[in-house]
Amino acid sequence: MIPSPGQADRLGICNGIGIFILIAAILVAGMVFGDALLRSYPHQDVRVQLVRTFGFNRLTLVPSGRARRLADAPNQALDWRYDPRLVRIPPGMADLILTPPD
Amino acid sequence: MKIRLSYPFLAWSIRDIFRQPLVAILLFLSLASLVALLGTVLLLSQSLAGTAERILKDAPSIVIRKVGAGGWAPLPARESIRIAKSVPGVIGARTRIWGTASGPEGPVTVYGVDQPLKTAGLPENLPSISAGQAIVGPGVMANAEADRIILTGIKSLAVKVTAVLDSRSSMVIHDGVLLHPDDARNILGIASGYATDLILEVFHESEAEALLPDLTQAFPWPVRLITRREAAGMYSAGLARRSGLTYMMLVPALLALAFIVVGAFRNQSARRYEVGLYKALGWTTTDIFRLQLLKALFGGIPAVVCGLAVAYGLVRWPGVSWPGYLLLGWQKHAPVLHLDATGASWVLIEIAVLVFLPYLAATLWPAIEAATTDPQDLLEKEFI
Repeated sequence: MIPSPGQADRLGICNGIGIFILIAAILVAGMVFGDALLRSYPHQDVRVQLVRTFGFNRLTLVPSGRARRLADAPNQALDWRYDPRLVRIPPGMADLILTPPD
Repeated sequence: MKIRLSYPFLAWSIRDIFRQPLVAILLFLSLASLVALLGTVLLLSQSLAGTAERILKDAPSIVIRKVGAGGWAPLPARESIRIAKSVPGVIGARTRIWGTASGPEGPVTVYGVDQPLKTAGLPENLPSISAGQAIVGPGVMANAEADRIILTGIKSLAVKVTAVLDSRSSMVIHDGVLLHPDDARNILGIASGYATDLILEVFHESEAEALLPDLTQAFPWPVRLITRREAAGMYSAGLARRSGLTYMMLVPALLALAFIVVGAFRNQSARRYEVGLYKALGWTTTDIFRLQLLKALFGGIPAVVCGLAVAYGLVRWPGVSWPGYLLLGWQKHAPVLHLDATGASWVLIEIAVLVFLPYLAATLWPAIEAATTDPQDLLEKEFI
C-alpha cells in the first residue's frame, strides 16, 4: 500500500514531537537552573544556631565511633569526626574513642 | 487533510532520528546516565563542601585539646580558660564536654550542655536539661516513642528523653545526645572540673593562625589546636576528591563518553551516502549542516537535560539520605541532608558542556566533511 503524501513520513507528528521535546527540555532545564539560582535555604538557620550555641566544629556526616560501629570496615582511619586530616591518623590515635566496659 | 509543517527541518530531523529508534533510545540512555552519574558525584561534592562551609562559619575559631602519651586527655576547665584568656587576641573561651558512648542503636556522641537552652537562641522550644534528662538527635533512636535510653561509656546511665531534635538539624547533631554536664562527665569518665576540650573565639579569622604558637607556649601541657579554617577546610577541600570518589567515577565516565563519541562518529560516517543523496536531490551544504545540527541537538539536549535533572534531584532534594548509606558509612538511620545549591548552576553547565560538546563535534564533523564532498563519490562508494 502506498501511503498518502501526508502520511508518508508522518512529518506532522514528528513536527509535534519535536516541538514537544523542545518545550519539555526547556521547561525542565528552567526548573533545575531556576531552583539552583533562586531557592532559599530555610533549614540552614537551625544548623547554624546549633553550631553557634554548642560550639560544634564538625558535622555529623559519618557515624560516631565509626571504628566500633563498623568493626569490619576496610578503612578504619576514615573518620572525620575525630581528625580533619583524612586517612592519616587512625581514630584510636586521634582522640575521644572511649571503649565501653564489657 | 493537509498537514502543515511549521518547521520542516525540525520535522525531518526528528523523522530521521526515529528511523533508527533503537540507536536513538540507546544514545539517549547513555548520554542521560553519563550526565546523571557525573553530575551526581560532582554536585554532591560541591554542595556538601559549600553547605559545610556555611554551617561552620560560626564554629569556634580555635579548638584546643590536651594530649599526652596515651592520646587525648581531659583538661582542667578553669585553669585552661584562664590561660587561654591570658593570651592577647583571645576574646572568649569556654569548655566543651563531649565524647562517644554506646547508645540504643550503636555509638552516639554525648554533649554536656552547660548553659540554659532558652538563652541559646534556638528556634525550637527546647526544654532545659536537668540531671537524668536528655535531648537526642534525630538519628539516635529508631523508636521515637521510647522515653528512656541507656548510654554506656566508662559508666552506664539511663536518661529520660525529653525531646527529639528535628530532622533539619541532622547534619549537625544527627547521632548526638545533649545531656546535663554532670551526666556527660559521668558517662565519659571525666572528673568534675575537667572538660573534653576548650573552644576559643578571636576577633578576626586571620588571627587564629597567628595565635597558634602563642597558645601552644601558654599551656603547660602539650596541646593540639584545630582552627575553624582547618575544620571547615576538610569539607571545602572536597569530599569527593579526598575519598577518591571523583576519580573513581570520572575514569569510567570518560571512557563511556569516549565510546559514545566514537559511536556517534562511526554512525555518522556510515551514513555519508545519505548526504550524497540529499545533495543529489538539490540540498545545499547549509541545509545538510542544519539538518545534522538539529538531529544532534534533538538527540542530545533532552538526554543531557534529563541527566542533569536526575543528578540535581538526587543531590538537592530536601532530606536525601542515600549519600549516608552509600558513601559515608551509615548502616541505618543515615542523616538527612539539606544541601545548599549555591554554585550548582556552574557545575551543571560544566557537566553539560563536558559531555555535549564532544558528542556534538562527533556528530557534525563527518556530516560537514561529507557535505563538502562530491555527491557522486559518496553514492558510488555506497552503491557501486
